[in-house]
Amino acid sequence: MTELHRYSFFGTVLRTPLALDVLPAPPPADIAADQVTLTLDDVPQELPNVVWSSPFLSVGPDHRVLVDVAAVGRFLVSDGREIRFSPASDATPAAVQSILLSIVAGAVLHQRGAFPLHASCVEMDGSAIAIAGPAARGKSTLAAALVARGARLISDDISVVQTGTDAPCVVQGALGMRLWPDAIDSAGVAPCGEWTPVRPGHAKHVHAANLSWMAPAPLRAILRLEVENAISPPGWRLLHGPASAAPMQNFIYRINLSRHLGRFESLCLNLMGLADHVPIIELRRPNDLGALETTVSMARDAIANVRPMR
Amino acid sequence: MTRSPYVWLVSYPRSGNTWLRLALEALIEGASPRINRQRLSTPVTNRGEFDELLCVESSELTDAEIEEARPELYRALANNRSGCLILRKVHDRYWRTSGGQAVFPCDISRGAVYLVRDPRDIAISLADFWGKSIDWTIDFMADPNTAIGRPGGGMIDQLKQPLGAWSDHVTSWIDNAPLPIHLLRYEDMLAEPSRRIAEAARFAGLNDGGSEFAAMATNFGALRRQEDAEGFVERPSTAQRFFRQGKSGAWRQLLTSTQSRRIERDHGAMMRRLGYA
Repeated sequence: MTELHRYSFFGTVLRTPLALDVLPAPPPADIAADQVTLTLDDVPQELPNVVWSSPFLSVGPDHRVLVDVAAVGRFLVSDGREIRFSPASDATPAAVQSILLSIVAGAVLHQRGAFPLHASCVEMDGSAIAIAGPAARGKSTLAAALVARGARLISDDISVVQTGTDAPCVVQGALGMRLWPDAIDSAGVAPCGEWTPVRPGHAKHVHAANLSWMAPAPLRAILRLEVENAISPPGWRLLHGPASAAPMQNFIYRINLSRHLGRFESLCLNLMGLADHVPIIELRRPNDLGALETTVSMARDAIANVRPMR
Repeated sequence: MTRSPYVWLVSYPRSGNTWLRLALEALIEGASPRINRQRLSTPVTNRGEFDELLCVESSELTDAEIEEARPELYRALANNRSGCLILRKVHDRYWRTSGGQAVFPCDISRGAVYLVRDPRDIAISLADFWGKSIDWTIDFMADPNTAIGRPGGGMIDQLKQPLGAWSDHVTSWIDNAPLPIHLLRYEDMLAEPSRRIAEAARFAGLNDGGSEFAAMATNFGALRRQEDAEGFVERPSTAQRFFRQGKSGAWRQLLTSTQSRRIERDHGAMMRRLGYA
């Protein structure tokens, strides 16, 4: 019988026959958590009556999601609880993990009605700091730089916020720091261990952070990461009003997928509610990885000088 | 039957694409365009747009997987615009994916305005823009394997856009692209801006009535005054100015005879065809 591994997975427990090296340990036995199950099984090549599709992903009328990356395999995600996976014959564990913890995780979370920020998140002094923004803003790089200076990674790229309690909290997600080679050198994290390509031959590399379980951390602030340009110099400022959480795609992970899964309106409300409780800080970094120390200093300065909201 | 939405606004880098877009925006809007609030400034091949529209993480995909999905990016964008005309900036050469798909598919394309400029002037402008030497830039313009964006990976928000050598870039569009092409010389746009803007507008299916206003509103002095007053978000830190000189023939003063001969040797056939030599 195949051994099943158990991992913390964005506020749930993932049971899987695959060994995954960037997911944290499951929570202690006395903490209840929903389960998501991954099984190795046949997956159809297409869904019937598809309501939306792209070259890698299609959505059925029942909100099932088929993720198909030819070199990796096909994942069929149902009800936010089941992942059926049919691997490609030459799929490597790294490639499977790469797609599972990005595209597939996004589908699971939107099906579950979770509130996933497009953010990397670190724990500093007992609180969570989310670093939000679209691709290539440097979220993972800043998170890795903060980890190299004593912070602890809570999640890379996708950070799930729980809002049911008194204060919004962030749960552990994928703990692989995923950086381009130039960012690894700049973040000051290169000596901390082995970095392996996210997929065979891919320039981006991954390194696992501390994989022990941690309780959800109260969200102290969201850093909305921007890059300096010819008219906007580096710096930070506290944002106010509805514009602080716009555009939504800079905050919500795969907002377009949420539309296809009927989650868009509730995520709008989630985000507006979050902006009422958590300071959103625009952090505009220098457009030079060599100046990462400046970005780190600005982030620390902003966090220290912005008061928590009630 | 719905008309194909795209008119591609194509050029090799530093050939006047921003000016053309601002002029067409002025013509459409009937108002002077603000350089930092361009309505036609859609990023060329922005990774965030790719990720959001196709619901994937481009940073987890291989270059080959991204390449095969490029045509679908444009289809997805078109679906979001309900058949309206889309004027889209392009720096890529005309190319097909390794699977044989046209990256700029015929079935969603009305055609392309191909804006061409004397490569000797491009060499000067591109060297200044990227903070490189003119000799390095001349080598770049002769290299058939060049690309901008993300060749080989890195934290860059643009996907890989193959350019090829300057001559090959021109050929790929005006000879090999199975699309209606409107060839527009930058030098002709400088000499007769109103007429050339009107021609490009008509090709794109726009009313050309505002071309005189568009020419006036986007003359070089007006654009440069805006950049002087408020800066320009598209200027890289390597360049002093985005709108540098706004004229043709600067190469006569700024290139050495060795440099100009090298460009004429590399690209002579196409230069003669386009009236540059």
